[in-house]
Amino acid sequence: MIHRRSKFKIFLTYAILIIITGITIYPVLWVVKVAFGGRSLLSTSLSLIPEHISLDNFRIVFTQKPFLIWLRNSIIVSFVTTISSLFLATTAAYAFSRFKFPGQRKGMISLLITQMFPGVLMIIPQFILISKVLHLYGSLIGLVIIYSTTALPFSIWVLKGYFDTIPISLEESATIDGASRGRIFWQIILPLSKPAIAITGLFSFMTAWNEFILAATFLDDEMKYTLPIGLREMVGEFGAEWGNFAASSILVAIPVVFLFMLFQKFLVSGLTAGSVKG
Amino acid sequence: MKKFLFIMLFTLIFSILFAQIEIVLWHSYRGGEKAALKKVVKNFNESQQEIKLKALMTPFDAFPDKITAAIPLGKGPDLFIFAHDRIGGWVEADILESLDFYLEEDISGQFVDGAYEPMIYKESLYGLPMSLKSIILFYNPNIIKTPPQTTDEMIALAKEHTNEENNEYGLVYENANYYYNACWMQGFGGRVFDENDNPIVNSEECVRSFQFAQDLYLKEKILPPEVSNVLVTTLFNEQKAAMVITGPWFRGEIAEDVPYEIEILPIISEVGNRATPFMSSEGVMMSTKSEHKDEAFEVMKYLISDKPALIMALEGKQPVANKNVYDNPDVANDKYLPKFKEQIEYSKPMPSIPQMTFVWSPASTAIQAVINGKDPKAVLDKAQDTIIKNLKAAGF
Amino acid sequence: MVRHKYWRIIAIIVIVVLFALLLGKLFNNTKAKLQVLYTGDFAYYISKAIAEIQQSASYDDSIEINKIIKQIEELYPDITDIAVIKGRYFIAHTNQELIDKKIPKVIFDTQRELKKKAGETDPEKPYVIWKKSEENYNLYNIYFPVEINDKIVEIVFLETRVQTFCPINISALFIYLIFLILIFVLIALDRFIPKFKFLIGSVLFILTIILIVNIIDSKLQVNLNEWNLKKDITFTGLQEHLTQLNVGVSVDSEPLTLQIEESTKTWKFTLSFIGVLFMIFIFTGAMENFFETIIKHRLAYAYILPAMFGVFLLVFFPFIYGILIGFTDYNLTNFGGDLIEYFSNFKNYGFNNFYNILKVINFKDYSNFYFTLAHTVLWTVLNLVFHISIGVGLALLLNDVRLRGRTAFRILLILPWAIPNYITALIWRGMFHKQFGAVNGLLELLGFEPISWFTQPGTAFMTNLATNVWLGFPFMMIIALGALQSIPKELYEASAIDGSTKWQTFWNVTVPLLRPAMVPAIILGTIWTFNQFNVIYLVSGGGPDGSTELLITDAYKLAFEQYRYGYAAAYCIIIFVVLLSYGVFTSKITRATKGAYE
Repeated sequence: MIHRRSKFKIFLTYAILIIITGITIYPVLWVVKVAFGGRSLLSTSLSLIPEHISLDNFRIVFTQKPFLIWLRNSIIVSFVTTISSLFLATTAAYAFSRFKFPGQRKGMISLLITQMFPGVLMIIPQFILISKVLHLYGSLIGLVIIYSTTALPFSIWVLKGYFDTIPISLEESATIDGASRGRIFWQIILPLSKPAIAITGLFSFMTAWNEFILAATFLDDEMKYTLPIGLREMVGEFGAEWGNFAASSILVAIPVVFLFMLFQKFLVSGLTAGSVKG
Repeated sequence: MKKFLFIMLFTLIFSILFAQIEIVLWHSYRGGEKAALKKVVKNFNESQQEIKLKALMTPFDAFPDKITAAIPLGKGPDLFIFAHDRIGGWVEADILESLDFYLEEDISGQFVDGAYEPMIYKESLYGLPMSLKSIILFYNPNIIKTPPQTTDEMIALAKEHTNEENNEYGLVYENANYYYNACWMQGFGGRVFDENDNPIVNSEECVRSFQFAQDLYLKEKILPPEVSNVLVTTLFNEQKAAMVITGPWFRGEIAEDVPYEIEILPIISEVGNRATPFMSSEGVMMSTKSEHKDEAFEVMKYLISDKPALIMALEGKQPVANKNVYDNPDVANDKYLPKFKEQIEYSKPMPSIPQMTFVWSPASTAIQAVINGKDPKAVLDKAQDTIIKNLKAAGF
Repeated sequence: MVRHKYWRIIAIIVIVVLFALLLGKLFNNTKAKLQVLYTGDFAYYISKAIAEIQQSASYDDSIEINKIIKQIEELYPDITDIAVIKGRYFIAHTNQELIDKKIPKVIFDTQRELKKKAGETDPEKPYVIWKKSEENYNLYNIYFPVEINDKIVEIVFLETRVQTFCPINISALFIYLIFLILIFVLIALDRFIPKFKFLIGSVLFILTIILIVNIIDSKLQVNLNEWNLKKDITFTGLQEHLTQLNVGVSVDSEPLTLQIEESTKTWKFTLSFIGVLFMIFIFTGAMENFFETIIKHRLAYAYILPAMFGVFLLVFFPFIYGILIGFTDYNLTNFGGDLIEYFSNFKNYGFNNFYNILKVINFKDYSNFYFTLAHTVLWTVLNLVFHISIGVGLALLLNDVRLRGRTAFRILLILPWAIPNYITALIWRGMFHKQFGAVNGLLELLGFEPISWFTQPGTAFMTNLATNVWLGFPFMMIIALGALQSIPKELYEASAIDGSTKWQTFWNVTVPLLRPAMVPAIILGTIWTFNQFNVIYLVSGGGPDGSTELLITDAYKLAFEQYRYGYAAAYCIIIFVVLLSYGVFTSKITRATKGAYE
């Protein structure tokens, strides 16, 4: 970089970031407070430090609820969803980005259209489809199928957008070298698209990780529940175990944060970063 | 290979000899109630060989919708536990099996008064009552020594213990929620529907009760603003609420170090009637799509019998519907259960006709507006119009 | 080439076999029809028997009942079962094992129905009822509560004939589909041989017609079933006969011949339409073109097929279903009926739902559609503006390599996205509490009056907005962060060398290169925000007075609180149309401006 920044500018950047981060994490800290400090979701004091700090809520979550089983189910569902939807999305997005074929634009548009119909009324027909046609009621596979397809339209759009920014010249030179389409895809395009793949991967993961309504409709055995249903189990008609809920929420967020830390390496390793850095 | 075949054969014979019919029961119990039900299920499975009862928990949020989606497609449970107020809708949607065929003798006498009737819709029985839930007055004995018997006493006591500066309030209940306000509404003599199932939410009695609710908040100033169920729990647990009006489920939310007592709701001084809350009778119901209805009915009969009901009462802390349980010394000496039973006698079952679902939303809007200072009469007239309009549009 | 011939021969054999099966299927149905017609005078004889029983004066439980059964058996030898019931039990039955056993529930229910009906008119009067039950059986239970010597016994005649039929002949349809696939394969194999095209085309044509006839026929047959039963009552003089016996008859008086015409008309129309389209498809060579295209672009299609298949499988069917429901008047009492049957009746077609939703324009009534639409649009626009500006702004700040601790900032900033929004939305609701909330706490600290957030539409809207902005910006930030990586650093340097200002660089370099990744995120973000449900539901609850409801929360309430499924589906269709027009609009815009940047 050529120009240097003034101290004031650096200060301003930090100030903005700290204020926004502060506002952002205040409600999060509130969750932490509830998790460590009892059973009420609210408090008459605005202090973020609970009066009595205890790990009771975490203990209850781990000992009195099949939390680890839910966690296992959620991890399985989310990972399989991520991998299958990534596979389907990258291949489809590549075709949409690089091939010219009839129905290309219509295909992309129709993917968008599928997102437009409100989900509220899709539950019953989807239920018919999964349970009567595919006979997957009560199984995690049914959920994976639904989640993968739910995540697909967005993933394909993002990946296609990203693939479009990769210069075709790279592929052309590879073609001249005699590489096949498949090799170009696997060895050139995919490694270059790490940021977009990281995003869509994270997105697919989150789709499966946090979804409640469909999961609650398609599963009925507590041992097959995923985390969101397990969490919602703590909410009743008139009240809820907020302490346990908050503790579980934190536990639910940890893998996501962890995954983000893992992925953000790709988020910052850019397209041509290697050639520019240093 | 031989060994394998042998094992196969053995399992086959075994499974033929002990072929059990599996009955699936859905519920949305949590905490103590869930643990108690688990024990009941275990007892049942140990008591006989023919039927294997399997209890599955579904979160309350998803429960009614899941029943509505799954049962018509034949994927639901054989039995499920739910409050009586959805019966009408579910019968119309062919989800609930009538029990008239299975029930040969009259068992209505086995239950606490008022528990059995709500399970009847259009002259047929659709559920066997297990527990009864209605709201009641909880109070903190550290703050209040003797609970109020009339609303005047209640207001006076509450005023004494209200201190806005310290965030302390005499009375906390979800005053912007129609369900909770029904205790005043019915106490004043108001009803949701008349004998012909026409809504009458703007009757004079209803207007007076809404005025009363408004006065508690705006005139007497004994309630905090914007009360939600979360706030009720918070203030009670911080010992900043002297009295709260809530239901038996609240017992699971009170922190260990907070003492509590309960008392039946006070007499409304203005009219001399006791406050009469909505009562929901929670019962076990049968799916029309169950493949083992006779066996499922056996399970139903077991669930309402004395022994399981006693477990649900003592371990699940449930105000059970079974009358005999209250003769048990452990229950009779319980600090709370007899009180809940007494309150049931001063309550009215929530209407179970499908029209009721059309009332909730406009009525809640109305009570919110009234709490915030609008004129009860005008607000309720508008609510009445909306309800009638929506009912007409839905074909009632 | 030799192999091809083998294939053809095998295929032709298979076709012939399937053809035979199809014909067999058709034949089967005809037989069923005949049988049903034959039930015609059944009821008449039964009633005669009853009359005789009634006239016989002596009646003793054990002996007489058997006599009755004998009599009926003689009169009508085809009857498989005869039973007499009392209360919940069989007291006599042609099958000895069933005596003293509990009656099936179907019978019990019918009895109840019978009594209820009787109760409406004359409680003393015995009643006759015809009932068809158990989907795959023709099972007619005929009940005659008969008074003999002051005792009322209910006599049941069970006539069971195992006879499967269904409105659409699924197996025939299935065979037909296999057929189609086979023919497609054949065409694909010897693609461009004209005479075969003609041959296959004709076979298909015949088959289509057979299928149409078959389906109409099975549809017709169902109606004939009902028709016959009812016809007996009116036409064979049974009604008069029973009236003489002082037995009430329940007759649906609607002329049934008309019903048959109406229902088959629809079917004939739809199916012929499909058939004609199909013919056009084949004979104009469209099918050939279709295959040519597929073969030419097979690689591209192979790449997209799995994804598209999955998406359409799970979206297409529910989508069609939802749209169909939108045209019905389905509510609590008639939901779950057979859609095919529903739409067989021309009277049921209509746009009533849409008309009722759209007819009144009133921006002052919070429950009015147009108010809610305006509110939803405002909600979406404001959310998107905040999501994008905050998200992209933060991404730009955090993309600066010289910034210390940016990893930490990034992780903290995605937390709203990571924590289940059910609890955080409720915490936001708590933060806006008039007395105990942090927001009013902050306002008081700054010297402002506390605000009662949830009592005014405007402030309630702000609570929802704040919560949703908080929930949504991390997502945009992540997308923007990823997209920023695709911008080569050289471009910035080049821009700096050109002497561009920072703003110019942002506008000329960053924005165009962010576009490809951001556009889908924005379009989809719009759709998601438009249909955002949780936040409204948990934070303001739609209040006060329904002023902060979105179209989607309204639709939810209509469907699940008022059970107006048809109306709610129509609502959803309108939401869909609104979003679709948005989609078309944006795609026009993006297409028009794309060239300017590339």
